[in-house]
Amino acid sequence: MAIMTQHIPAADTGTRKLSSLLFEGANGLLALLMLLLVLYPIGAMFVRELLPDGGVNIQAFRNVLSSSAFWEAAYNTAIVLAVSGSLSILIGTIFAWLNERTDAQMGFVSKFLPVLPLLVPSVAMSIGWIFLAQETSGFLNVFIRWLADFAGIEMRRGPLNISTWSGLIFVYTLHLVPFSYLIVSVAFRNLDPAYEEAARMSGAGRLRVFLKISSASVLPAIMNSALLVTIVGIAMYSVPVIIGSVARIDVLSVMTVNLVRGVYPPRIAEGVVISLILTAVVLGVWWLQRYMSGRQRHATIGGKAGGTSLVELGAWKWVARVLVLAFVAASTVLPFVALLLVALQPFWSPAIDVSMLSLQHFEELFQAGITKRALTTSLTLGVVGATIGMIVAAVLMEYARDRGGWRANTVLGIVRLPGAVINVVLGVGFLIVLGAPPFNLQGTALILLLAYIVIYMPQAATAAGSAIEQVGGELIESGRMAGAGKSRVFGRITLPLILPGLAAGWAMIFVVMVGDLTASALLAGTRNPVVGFVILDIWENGLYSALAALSALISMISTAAVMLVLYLGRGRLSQAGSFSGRITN
Amino acid sequence: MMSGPMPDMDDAVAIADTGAATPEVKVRARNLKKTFRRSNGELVRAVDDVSVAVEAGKMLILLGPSGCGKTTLLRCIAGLERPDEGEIWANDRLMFSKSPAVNAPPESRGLAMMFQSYAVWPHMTVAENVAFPLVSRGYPKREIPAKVAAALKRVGIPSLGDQYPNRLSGGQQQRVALARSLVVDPQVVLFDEPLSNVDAKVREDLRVELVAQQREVGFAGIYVTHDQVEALQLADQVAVLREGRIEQLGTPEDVYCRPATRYVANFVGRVNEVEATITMGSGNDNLAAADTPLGRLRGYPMAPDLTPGTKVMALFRPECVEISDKGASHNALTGSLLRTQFSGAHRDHLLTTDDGHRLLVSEMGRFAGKTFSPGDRLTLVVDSKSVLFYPL
Repeated sequence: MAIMTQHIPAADTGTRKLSSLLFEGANGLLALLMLLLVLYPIGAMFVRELLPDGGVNIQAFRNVLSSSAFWEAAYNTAIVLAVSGSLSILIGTIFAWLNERTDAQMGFVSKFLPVLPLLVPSVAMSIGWIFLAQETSGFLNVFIRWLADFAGIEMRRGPLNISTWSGLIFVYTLHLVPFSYLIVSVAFRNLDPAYEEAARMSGAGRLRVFLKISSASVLPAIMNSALLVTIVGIAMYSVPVIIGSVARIDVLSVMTVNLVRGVYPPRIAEGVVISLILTAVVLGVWWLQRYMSGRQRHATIGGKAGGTSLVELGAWKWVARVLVLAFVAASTVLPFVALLLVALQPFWSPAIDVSMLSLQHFEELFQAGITKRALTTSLTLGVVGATIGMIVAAVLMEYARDRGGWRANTVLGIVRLPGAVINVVLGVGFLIVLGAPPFNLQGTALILLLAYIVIYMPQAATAAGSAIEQVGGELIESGRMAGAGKSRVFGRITLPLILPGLAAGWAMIFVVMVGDLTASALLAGTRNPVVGFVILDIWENGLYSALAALSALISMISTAAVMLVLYLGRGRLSQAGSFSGRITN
Repeated sequence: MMSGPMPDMDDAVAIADTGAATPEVKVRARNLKKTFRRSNGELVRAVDDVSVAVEAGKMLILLGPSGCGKTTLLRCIAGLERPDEGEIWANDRLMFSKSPAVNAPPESRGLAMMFQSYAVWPHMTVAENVAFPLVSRGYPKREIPAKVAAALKRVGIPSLGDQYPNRLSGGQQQRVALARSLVVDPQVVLFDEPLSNVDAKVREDLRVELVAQQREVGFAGIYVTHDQVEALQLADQVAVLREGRIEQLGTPEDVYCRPATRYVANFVGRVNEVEATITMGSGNDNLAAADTPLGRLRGYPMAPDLTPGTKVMALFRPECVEISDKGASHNALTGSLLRTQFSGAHRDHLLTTDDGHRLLVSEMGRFAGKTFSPGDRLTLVVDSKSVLFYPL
């Protein structure tokens, strides 16, 4: 080693160190900011309301725990969740199997069919089902009674009634199916077909293969989906605030919002107590999920991508396809058609007179002051929020991939943290902490923007993360070996490859922000109206035509945004491989 | 292949020593260590005090089973992993050392690398892929198209420049990756199992291509593989790794014909193993003798202190055994044939001896006319120079 001594210049330079230090610092700051935005409002809320002046606010706990309304809402929440959760997992798993592993799949598009409901704001779907299945004037009821009349059966009302337990559970289920479908379908996609083929060769029939091999192999994914469905179900606000209110079934999320914003004087401390209980339940579910996925790690399956050999269903194929299409009709098409019909009619009437249809109610949306302002604010917030959210998510997830180790785990923990706190609780925290002095953000667009970004960060991070994961380590490493620095590799290789995934994530975040009801119900007002706030306002006033027009409009905007992104991405998609952008929590 | 006297054993280790630095040494690692912690907390010494050096125009093969640390060693040299200890030099510059603290990022080490998964970027055309290193390293824009065209021509895909990689076969994609690695005329190229994802025939073609390119460009290469045939064909030097350490470093002939340990002998090629007891230490001809259940064997001792009475293992390769009709006083074995397997260029006979040992005999070429059937008793003679005694 005598020849190679220290006087030979080292390749490392000071400027490189400085730039990597800046990169590190900026990422750390971003992660810290996200952490603060999640923890501070919630922490300050609990401390301020439940530990005032250093003592525990026993009165608030006593008020909640002794109220029969609380126990009834808790009981209702449990029942709705247990029934709709089980149904949605069953349906989601069957759909996932049909679309991934059998010849019932209908090409590329069919895999997205069960996810379609996520592209339409759930509040619009709920209102659409009021118009479809209201007991006397619902379009479906009128149609069924008209058919029954031919058979000589006379009915005055029904047979469907959305304002019931079964109605509420039905709409909950429609909303929850995509969540279980997404997780389970990924597991089926990654399931090596050889497992199933080996079972067939061992003499097992189709049903036995599905039950004993396919389902058993994806059991960890089914358990994960069960826990996700539970969290999404507990957090659900839009469906119970619409359907639950007409069915007179109160659930905890709606009760919390009402205590904080719906009664005068507000009973904030009691709302915070319920928030604490909900947070504890969700954290318990999260812990359970971690515990179980830790135990079942050995059961997750890598292996070759399938798609080559599909289970043949014979004539059952058509039954399966009809079921999938029926779900799409019930969750997306029918509610939208109902919204459109009511919006085009002068007033909601089961008798459709084509000559009376007009765009009048749509025109009014753009005339009336508050609705027009709400539309402008919501769309602006959607564009700005989705853009900032996806950039933050992409930067943090790329940082996590690049650094690995404890830094990656910290960043992943932070971006997923909001998922452990349901929207209602985050909204309440923002309202009573950031809305109050010294921040005084109540009534501003900024408080909505911050809340949206934090609430939907887990989804943005999942979309960005799965896009980055797909790029693969060697594609990036080969860029470094070709002499490009981190920034050039990111700009020339990583970014172009993850762009379709980021765009898909952007569209998804845009849709949920524009259609947001929970944060909007808590944080918006007449000074900073957004679509969700106006929809609730119109709903309470019973102006069905305006409600239908606004819901139909945001559904169309959401769908158009998604279509546009898919259209723009189609060229890149075929080059860069498969479409990604999973919508999981 | 197996001929000539036993060389001085020190030859094999001389290359492992990094003391003699010559100007031609293009890449060098000294006393590298890298430890991983598994998720269950267990520490794995992926690279455990390894030193290697490669001169210009030479190819060093890192050979070993999966998990032996060969890829980690390569990635440490590339700058994609950070070693815990040691020094890395490339192109006469210090790239990594613990103190003074130096860790050059991969892009400033001036190395090229080929990956197992091709890692051809799907959003760029073939020409754009190959142009990328030139752009990154700041070549003048005017020169780039001509250089790209020359590189594509050199690897035999001159007309594919406008194609996107997803239209290409695996072999073509790997040619793109090769062109991308060689377009800047690198002095050092790293290969991470670049041929294990392509078909056998394509693999053969690309291997020939690779050797030709190395002749032409004259780069120093480090090549990771678990395929011993590939290792022997491509290597100037082979480093056989085991649990993070170099078990043997030498020429392909060294590691095949004079494996330093039983591990190397078993990993590089097929081998017959028979327990033996030394009866006579090595004499003037360097040969020792040992008694085995199959009879007396003469061969080379592979350790210095194999005195009479030492229990050893006698190893010899199947192709160093000859089927003979004449007996001999030593190195003659008899057994009855279990089965014969025809493999084209050679045929293998599996025999069992009277005390139940299994022996593998490989006959090369020119065996037309001679046929054996199961149960035949065969007499075998093993070349003394191919019998190696290893301490147990």
